[in-house]
This record gives sequence, structure tokens and C-alpha cells, in this order.
Amino acid sequence: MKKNKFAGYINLKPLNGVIYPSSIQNILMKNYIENDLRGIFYLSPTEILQAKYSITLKTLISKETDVNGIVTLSSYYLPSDYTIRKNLFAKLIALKKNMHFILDGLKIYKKQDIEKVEDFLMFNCDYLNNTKKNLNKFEQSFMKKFKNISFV
Amino acid sequence: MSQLQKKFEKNGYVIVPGNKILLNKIRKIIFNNIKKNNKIKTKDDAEKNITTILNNFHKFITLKKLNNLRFDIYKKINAGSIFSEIYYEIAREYLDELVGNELAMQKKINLSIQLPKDKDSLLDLHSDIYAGESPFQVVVWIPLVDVYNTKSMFITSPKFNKKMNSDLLNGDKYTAKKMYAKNIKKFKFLNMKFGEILIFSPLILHGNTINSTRESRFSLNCRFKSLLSPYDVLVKSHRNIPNFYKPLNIKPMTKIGLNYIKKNLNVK
Ligand SMILES: [Fe+2]
Repeated sequence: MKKNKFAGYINLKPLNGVIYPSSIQNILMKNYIENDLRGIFYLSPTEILQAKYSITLKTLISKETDVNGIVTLSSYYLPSDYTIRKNLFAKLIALKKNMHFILDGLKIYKKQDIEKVEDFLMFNCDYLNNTKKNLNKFEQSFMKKFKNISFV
Repeated sequence: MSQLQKKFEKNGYVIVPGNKILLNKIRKIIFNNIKKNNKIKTKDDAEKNITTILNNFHKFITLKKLNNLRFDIYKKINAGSIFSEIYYEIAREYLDELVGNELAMQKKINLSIQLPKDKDSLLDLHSDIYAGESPFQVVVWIPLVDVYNTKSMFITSPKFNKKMNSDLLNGDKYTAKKMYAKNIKKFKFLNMKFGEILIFSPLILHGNTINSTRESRFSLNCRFKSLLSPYDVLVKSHRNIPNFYKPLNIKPMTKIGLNYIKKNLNVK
């Protein structure tokens, strides 16, 4: 059987606080492509951090890049703008490519899979990703009643 | 407040009966993997036989091969979602009361195997919070055989925890081992039967020592927290979505509310 070819997509922006060095991203993607997808790890370009748009990702999805699918660590690496994502997904489906998000445990093969990725992206918001360093005034007064329920 | 909740707030943990059918099911998955891996020849899959083989597992494997086996099973149980779905179901009714019914679950379920006299599988006294985990989480710990004495894990009580925790965090005097040795009387090893599960707050200091019983211990552990409670507390770590946790069940209003935030941010 002919093996499928996959591109890795490296992004060096923090993934909810964690920057995974390219070397680590490469290891994770190579493992996933070879062991889980039984495919060939083809190339893994890095996103241009200074650019306004996700040029590298767009290139991988386009027909200029001859691969069956794209593998990346997380959907959090996708562009944050909804319309831009929508266009990228449409291209992906039209060209019959698939996309895999290793840490999220998600993949896109067909149109219906996109919704799952969009649902997951809800968690990429400040409300959940900010570090909680203290209680606000409301929380402080609310917690007065429970001050004895503490293990530390 | 329910008895369960009162007990948990007082002791920092509860030991409760788990669904035996499901517990047998996850134990069987582990057992089948072990059987294949170690070429253990037994056609007898009766519960009693599984218990005997697990308890005597040190007779079937060398310490050298142990970690590879553990890692191999770890990979298998964490591929796909079945194992984690059963795991949640076993603890669900208690998690409902202690944490909530809209949860985030640790992405990978851990397996510990502690053979008698093994010095390499030790987990010194600690609080999981020291490794950047959220104080909003509980650990669901499931022994796959009866555990007692040093075959089990030790834990302290909230009453003692405050001082020891503060001494460890603020003093330069102690190593984890010294702290344990000095306060050994303040810890107890949990006595549990296979069929029971432990739910505890990992803010409470806990750990294990060399298993000096004559039986091997198999146990699983996994963390749960309320989906919308804070992940990174005081310091930024990686114990969040998607690095460590996955959303387990998302209620309609959470989707609607968070999508409202998401879409409106994009309008800008
Ligand atoms: Fe722990």
C-alpha cells in the first residue's frame, strides 16, 4: 500500500503558556505521523510569527504543497480570526486534505469535523487561560463564609 | 450538605464503592495487555485468577522490564477514548457531588505498578500542586488489587497538612524524605479493597514508600476538575487545556456563552 504523505506545521507562539521548541514539535509530529497515521513525515515549515496572516499554514493547505494531510500540535495554532479559519477549512476540504491536532485529539476529514475543532477553540480564551493570581472583591467576600474549608 | 461532602471537607479524601462491573472491565483491559506482553499463559480469566496473577506479578517480570511494560500499557489505554469513558463513569456519581457535572479530565490516565522492594517506582511525599496542577482538581485513584500497608499510598490529614506544607514551601530545612521521616506518624497508608475507589485533593500531602509487603500493587490515577474553574493558579504552568486537560462534557449554555465571547472578539 502506498503510504500517505504528511506535512508538519510548526508554530512557535505559546500554546496556553507553553512554547514548544521546534525540535520537540518535530519529535511529536514525527511520532504521530509514523505511528498513528502510518504515513511519511514530509516536511515541517515554521509559521512566520511576524506576519499578519498565517502564511505558512496557508501554503501547506494550498495545492502548491503536495501532501495528503497536515499535522500540528493543537488547534490553538490556527489563526484566531474566525473568517480566516473558515476559509482555510473550506480550502482543506475542497482539496481533500486532512488535518490533525495531536494534543487536542482532534482531526478534520470532512466538513462535519470542523464544528468539533471550533467547539474546542472556545477554550482558547482569556477567561480560562489567564493565570489566577488573586481573588477579586466579590470572591473575597463570598469566601468569608468558607474560610475554614482549606487544606493549606 | 451530603455526608460525602462533609467527609471530604473534613478529611480531604473519601473512599467509596465503585461500579464493580466497570472496575472489572478496566482491570481486564490491563490484564489482557499484561498477558500478551509477558506471554503469561492462562486461559482462566476468572476474577480470582486475575487477582492472583496481579498480586504475584513480581514473579512474572524483572524490574528491568517493568518500566517498558508500564509505558506500553499506558500508551494502549490512552489510545482512543473507551478507557477514559469507563474511568469517568466509575467515579461519576461522586464527582457530581464533589466537583460538578461539567468537567475537564486529565488527558492521560496513569498506571502505577509497584513491585515488592522496588526502589525505582517511588513517589516521595508531595502535593500535586507543587508541579503546577490546579487546586480545583481531585485525583481519582483506583487500586486494581487490595491494598494495605506499604503496598498502598500514604496520606496525611488537613489538620497536619497546613504546617507541613508551609514548612516545605517556606523552609530550607527539609527534603521531602526528611519531612516524611520526621512526621511519619501523621501519615497513614490507606486500606482499600479492589472495588473501592479513592477520591482525594492532591493539596493534601501524599506519596508512597518501598512496598515491603509480598504482593505487587497495580493502581490507576486520573485528575478531574470543574471545566470552568481556573487552570493556572498563582503561576503559569502547562496543566491546562490542551496541554494537560481535555474538556469532558460541555453543557449547552457554556457553548453558547463562550461562543458569544469568541465571536464578539473576532468582530473587532
Ligand atoms: Fe500525587
